[in-house]
Amino acid sequence: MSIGQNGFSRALLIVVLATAACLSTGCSTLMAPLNALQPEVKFETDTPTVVAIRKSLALRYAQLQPQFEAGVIGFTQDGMIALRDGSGLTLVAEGEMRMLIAEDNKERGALYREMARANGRPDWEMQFRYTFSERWISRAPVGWYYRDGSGKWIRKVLPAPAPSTS
Amino acid sequence: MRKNKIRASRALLLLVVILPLCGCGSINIFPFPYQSAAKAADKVLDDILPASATGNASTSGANGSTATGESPRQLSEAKKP
Repeated sequence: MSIGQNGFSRALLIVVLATAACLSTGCSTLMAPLNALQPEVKFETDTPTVVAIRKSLALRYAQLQPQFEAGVIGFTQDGMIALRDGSGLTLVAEGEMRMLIAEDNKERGALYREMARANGRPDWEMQFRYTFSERWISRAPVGWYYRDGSGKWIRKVLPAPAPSTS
Repeated sequence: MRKNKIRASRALLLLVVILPLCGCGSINIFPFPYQSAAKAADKVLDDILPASATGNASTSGANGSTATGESPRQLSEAKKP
């Protein structure tokens, strides 16, 4: 009887310790094998708020596109846009550009926040932000600029062709 | 005694399996699903930054590579405050 109780207590202790370790590591290490089992998640992208932001961003994109092409503005690594080189702009034009950027960034922030909220995970706002950032940069045409992790502006170039095997 | 051992083993198995799966309500067992999120992002970006306007758009939902060669996870983790 006592051996059985000891065994159970020992087992319980192991579970408690394992749970504590799991919590302290954010489950990332112990639960890593479960990642492979992760099902495909269908994220909601059509809530009224998200749709409204999408439309608004699309409208402003028409104004921003020439500036992206000219290298005046570029994408940042946190899903925003920033002024890269305003030297070719007049003082007034630069002021207007800064206002446009601020308006766009406000809506971008709202988009990431709403994506997280609409999908029941407000704590994932940052993850959405950086996923969107990666997609913005990845989809940007060649010649557009983005700012890398060190703050340096990079001009997108054509990817190098794969070496032929023949 | 033998019965108790079996009971203890069963309880242990139950706790080991159920505890992590339940996640105690606040533990996130699964990390952020980047692939699914990238697909959702592409869907949103299709409206804003049309695929026809992009040089190397991948609307298939992000194979994980980026313009800088970093995976979304690397990019995200590197920039997390």
